[in-house]
Amino acid sequence: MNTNQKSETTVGFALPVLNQVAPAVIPSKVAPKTESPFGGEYWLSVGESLRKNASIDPLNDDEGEFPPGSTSLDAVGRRDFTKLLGASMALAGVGMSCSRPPTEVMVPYHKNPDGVTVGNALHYATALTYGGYATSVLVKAREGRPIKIEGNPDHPSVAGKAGPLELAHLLQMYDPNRAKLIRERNGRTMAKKAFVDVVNARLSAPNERGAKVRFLVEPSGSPLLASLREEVKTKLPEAKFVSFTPISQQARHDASKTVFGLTLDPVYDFSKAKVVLSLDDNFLMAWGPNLANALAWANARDPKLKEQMSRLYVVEPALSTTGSMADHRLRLRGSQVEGFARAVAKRLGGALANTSGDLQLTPEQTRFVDAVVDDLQKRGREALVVVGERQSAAVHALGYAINSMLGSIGTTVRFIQPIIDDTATGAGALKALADELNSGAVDTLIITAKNPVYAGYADIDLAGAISKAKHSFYLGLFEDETAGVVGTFINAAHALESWGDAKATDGSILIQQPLIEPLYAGLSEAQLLALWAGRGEVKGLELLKGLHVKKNTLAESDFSKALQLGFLAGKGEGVETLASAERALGLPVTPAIEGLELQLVRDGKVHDGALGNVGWLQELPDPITKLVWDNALMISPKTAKEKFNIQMKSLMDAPAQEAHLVTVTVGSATVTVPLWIAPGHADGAVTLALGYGRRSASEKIANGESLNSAAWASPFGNGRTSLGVDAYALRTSSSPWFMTATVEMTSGKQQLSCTQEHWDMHDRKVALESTLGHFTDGSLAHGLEELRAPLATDTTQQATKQVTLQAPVDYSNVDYKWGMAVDLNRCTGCSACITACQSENNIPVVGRDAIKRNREMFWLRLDRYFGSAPGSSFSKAEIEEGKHLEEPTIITQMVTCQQCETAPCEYVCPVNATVHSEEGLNDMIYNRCIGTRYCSNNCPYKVRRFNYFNYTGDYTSSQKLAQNPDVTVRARGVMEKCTFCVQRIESARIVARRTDSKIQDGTLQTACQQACPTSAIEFGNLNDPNSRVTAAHNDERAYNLLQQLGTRPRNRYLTRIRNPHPMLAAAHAPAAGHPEAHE
Amino acid sequence: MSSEPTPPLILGKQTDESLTQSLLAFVWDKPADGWKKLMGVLTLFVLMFVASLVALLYKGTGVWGNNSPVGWGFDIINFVWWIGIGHAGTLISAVLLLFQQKWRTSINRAAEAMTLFAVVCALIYPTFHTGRPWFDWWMLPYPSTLGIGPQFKSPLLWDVFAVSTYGTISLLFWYVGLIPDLAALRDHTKNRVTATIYGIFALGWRGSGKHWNHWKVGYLLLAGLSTPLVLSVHSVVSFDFAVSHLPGWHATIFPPYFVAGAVFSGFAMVVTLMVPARKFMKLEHVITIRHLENMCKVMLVTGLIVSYGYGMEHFMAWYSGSEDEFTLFFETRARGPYAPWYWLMWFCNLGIPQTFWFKRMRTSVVWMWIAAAFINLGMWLERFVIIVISLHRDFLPANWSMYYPTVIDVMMFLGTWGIFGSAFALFLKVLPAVAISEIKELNHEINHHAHHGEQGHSIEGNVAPAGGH
Repeated sequence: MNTNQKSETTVGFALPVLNQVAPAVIPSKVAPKTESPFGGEYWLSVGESLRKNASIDPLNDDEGEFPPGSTSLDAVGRRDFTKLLGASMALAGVGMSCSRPPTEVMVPYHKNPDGVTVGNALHYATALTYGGYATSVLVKAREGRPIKIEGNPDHPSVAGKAGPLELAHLLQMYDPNRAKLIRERNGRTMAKKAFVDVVNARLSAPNERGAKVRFLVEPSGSPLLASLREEVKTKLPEAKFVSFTPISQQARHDASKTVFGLTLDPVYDFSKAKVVLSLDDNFLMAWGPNLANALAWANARDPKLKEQMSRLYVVEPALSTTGSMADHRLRLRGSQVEGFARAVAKRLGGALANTSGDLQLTPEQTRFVDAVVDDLQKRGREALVVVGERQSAAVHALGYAINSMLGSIGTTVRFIQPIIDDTATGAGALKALADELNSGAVDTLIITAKNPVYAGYADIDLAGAISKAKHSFYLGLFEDETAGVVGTFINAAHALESWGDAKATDGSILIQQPLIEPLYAGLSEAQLLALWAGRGEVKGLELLKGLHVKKNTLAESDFSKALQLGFLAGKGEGVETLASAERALGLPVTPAIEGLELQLVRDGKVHDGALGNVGWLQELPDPITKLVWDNALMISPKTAKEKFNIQMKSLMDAPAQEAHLVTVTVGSATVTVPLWIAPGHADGAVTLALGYGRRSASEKIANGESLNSAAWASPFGNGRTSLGVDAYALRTSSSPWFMTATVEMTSGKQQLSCTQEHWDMHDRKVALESTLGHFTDGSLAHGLEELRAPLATDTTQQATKQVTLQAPVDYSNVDYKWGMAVDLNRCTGCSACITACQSENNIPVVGRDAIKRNREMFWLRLDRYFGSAPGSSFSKAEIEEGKHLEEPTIITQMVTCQQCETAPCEYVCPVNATVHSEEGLNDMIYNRCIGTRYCSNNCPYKVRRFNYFNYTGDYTSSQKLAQNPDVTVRARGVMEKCTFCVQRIESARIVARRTDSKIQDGTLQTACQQACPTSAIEFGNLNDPNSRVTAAHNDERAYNLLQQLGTRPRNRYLTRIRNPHPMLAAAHAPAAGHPEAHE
Repeated sequence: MSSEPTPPLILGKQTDESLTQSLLAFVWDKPADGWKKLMGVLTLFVLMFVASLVALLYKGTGVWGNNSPVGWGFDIINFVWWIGIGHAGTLISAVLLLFQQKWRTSINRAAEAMTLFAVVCALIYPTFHTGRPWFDWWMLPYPSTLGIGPQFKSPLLWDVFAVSTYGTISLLFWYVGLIPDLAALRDHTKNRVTATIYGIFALGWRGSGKHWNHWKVGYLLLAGLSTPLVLSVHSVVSFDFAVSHLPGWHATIFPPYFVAGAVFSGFAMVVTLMVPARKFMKLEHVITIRHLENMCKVMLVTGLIVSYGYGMEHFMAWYSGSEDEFTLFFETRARGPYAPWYWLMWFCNLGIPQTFWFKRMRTSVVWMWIAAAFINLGMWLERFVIIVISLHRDFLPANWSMYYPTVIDVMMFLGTWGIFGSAFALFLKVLPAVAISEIKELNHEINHHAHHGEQGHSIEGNVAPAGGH
């Protein structure tokens, strides 16, 4: 062991933020490739020392003789089997079998690198970009390795929040499947220097003006990339840049160009909106650009605002996160939304009175439109109409025109210069490029867009076109579908490994700084463009400073400040403008599609599929369907009954059991996909999510190969390994979102993995909701009385007598009494909390088959229940037909360990592995646990998770680096559970002790609370009468889950309040003054 | 009681010599082909067990079908089932001995052996069902230098004590009872090696009056010790459930109802094993139809107690007013996805034993064997109903999930059958299946009474099982 190794002290420019004690300059390069940050590599066991060749790169150790997972039981050879047979039997007896934790020797730094205090985390601000839209994030790093992504609390459009997509970038960076080398089509690898020479040779060719050079890039708002593109154009004046992203915002931009005469991006202020009409816009879906919207909207939904509480109308085909929060939701096929928008516009009158092409409304739809129009007119400036990315330019234009007419431009929405510089991001540009390639007009193609061969359109043979190019280059993180058709693949540096900048949705410029040296010496997009600009291999920081410091004359100190904050001062420039209704109405009417309509949709987990190889996202339950690891064709109960004669009765209890396989045909393309009955889906339509059906050989998670690994699946898996179906195969450039399709039943069936088998609450008082009326008249509070323990601060005998014979432990004398509150009125079910918890607490991904066996490991889950609107009642026959599933209400409830004061799990543990702390936390001692699982059986909330296999045992070296060192990585056979992020409590306590003070309310956040885009989770000290969590516990909407058991949970739920329009609410008989449990 | 004369406990005129000969014949004879074939099959089952155990230890608990919410599946079902089976032995041996039920003598040895093997099979499950079995010893109250010990509030810990005590006492009781017979084996063998082996285990038994006196006292004392254990073991096992607060587990009726169920299933297993064994080993003269009939009566009584337990559970579910309990008993069990198994359990445990009201059924060897098989199944299903059905749908509907056993689950269960069966077959081969000394004593008593012209009536009068009438 080389303890004399020189510590790496390369000076970087990453600056710590938050209250970390660290000098201004700290190394950004601490984890060198072949040495652990602790100064050497250590054997985990004697066996490993024999097996391991010291020359093997620890980050490449999966590239051994056999692929990962091949040493599992499925593939045990004869000799291994005999060895195991003998050894297990012999060793089982003497108590040294199997998964004991390995003995490791830890050696501290021989010489401490500057700025690093071992054990202290440092936070760096950086930016993550997706489809051109950036999110400002803080990355937590320990001993030189990033371990967690959080929202940047200083950036106003994020406010410290983050969605699963942002959080997942961490695991993507450490992905062992990442491309590590530059590779040519013939499989030969190429040194970086050789590649640089290739580019330079091309550039130095005589009379090279780039006429035959094209760049296929992802849309970008980055000033750095913009300036580099300019530089490339100076060098190669005839070269062209083509933008591609599968989820294009071009309709929005086209509409803006039409009605404003300028390409502009809207910035919403939902906090001022008293009524919101969403036309197929899933603005609450948790990803970067939506974070600010979600929080502002949730703040406007506070029931304490009484009649000023905001109201949400949603018109959409399939239930979305946003639709699940709607006060009134209208199911319409995607292509009918335009007709609906026109109907609303027409009723609003004024300049829009002449709107044509409006939808033929049913009486029910008419009442809906009447209510919407009434609300929009009543609220005027405080109303907001938002339109989703799938809708045509005409709908966007109408949306702008309505907002303009209502006067809400300037209050609830303002317009700024577009975030992304590329305006042509739709299919047209890609088609033109393919034509050029096919005609031979282009011989050199440089691709930096994300996997266009996979995510392109069925009617554009991009793969064929690319292979016609004499020289094609692709910069990517993975050797994916696109890598398979290009001449030269260049391994990219990850966003967390490279310098750059980007634009957030409010128009502010974010600085992207690396957290770590590129693990596999990849190039960033900026570096690649610099190469093509003839600048040779330039360091990313040099490029960035070249733009901002030298060219834009930013002071060096201001640049440092921007690094520290993560963004440059200033926002996107606002543009004062009003939409022209006339021009909006001039856009052509697109008639609704006749016949069965297929809708494509951004997936709730992997979005467009670019992050498909991140296990966290694959295993994240879809917010609505709770499906994992697959996509499925959504269909409404009625259509399923009419078209396929599927009986709803058989699906009520366990919808996951049997999914019929159907074929979907669009034009000449056909895919076979499992059918999923989706309550609340529009009739006459089916929905399929993008992002699945990956075929890339290298992305072993995305293509389903990892599911063969018995280490995290059952040894008796069902053998089908591909993940989901490729919806892009059905997508044409002319109709990217809505199209006519034929769906035929096949005889096949497939079992899908779903984390929640049951749809309804079986009349139990679990996730409660009520109406604003019942909240304001106090009947809700009265109805909740029986579901509340004595108030949090009240521990007197008198108050607790009814619920328990035993006097409860008095926690009033300790400094901290930790508690949590979840506001169901704010929780949208977006699932950011789940990924945040997984990242913070080293929760393993277990795989599709394990979830089929109900062995998910989430410490925190989101229970989703479908119900019926209050007052509606259905006959037995109607229920069997699925009538009650047509217009369901839906509620999501976050459930994690309730930290019961009288915890049922504790007294049944035979070895004292789960005990109560004096602050009332239900602690779990992993190394004491022997795994009887009794605690889980006795937990009424079933929040404990058991390591049925050694899920963490096959982590590669890179995956190990992603683990949070503050949290034990659990071994096989151990029970685990939510700890209220006890490691964060303890760090906060250390900080507080140093200053001889107490932990202040608000300085300590759990990971779920921190990520929650709508601030639905409060956590803090219940002994502090002024803390926010105490206030939440004492709220009149608060109740205990399973109050009847007397577990005295420390977590409380705040009843969800619906705010129905009186015109629509009147249809339902008002329920009694009780919180309604869903039926 | 029927008007027919009670059938005798020993058929024909038997002498000490004829009894020794006939009862040891199976030990001395060359292994029959049937026995060898049976052992061959059973060995395959044992190997299957070994394979499943290797898979379990190598891969982890996940090779079983357990999940969340169903944390316990085949492991604990089979544990409770095997422990229940282990009850008949002790009950027959100890309790009936104390109540001077002479009819027990022909079957007690085999029943005790069965108890032991059943306890061994049972112990496999709690030992290996933990996630990290190599740390099971943390459940023992050894003086740990870490200053952390087991948690005495946990019923799992009580299990450790209850089952280990039960196993130890059962082994001692069985062994002490065997001593005179081991001496007989030693004295009758012509092979020096077997004579030495039997001799070592016979502990120098010479059959002197003093030996008999001490032996009798010791045997009775052990019987006295085991008697409360019959009640305690399954009561403690039932606490594993009753102490929790899960609907379907949290019930005060569990201890007596579990004990009755254990005796029920234990007797069923004795019948299952003894009916074929008695025929193969030609023991019809000592294990008479009267023994079998008495066992049927015990099954009828305990079956009724068990069914009463089921009834009370349902009554309490309604009477308590608890929504969760009510849903479990009247919806989940009766109409849920596992409902067929639940109703099959009623059929096996309440329906089948009702045939034993009829003497013709009670004395039909074929029917009682079939009925016993049903009861064994029914009692397994009872544990399935209690454990899996209660766990799979508890409080929050979002957690509700199905449980399916895996191939390994089934292999392991069949494997324990192999262990149990092969151990029992070996026992039949190397040790007398019937307590020779006690049979001789009984024979002597019968002959003695006959000599005095009493036709053994006083003994006959003693044999009616107290619970049956």
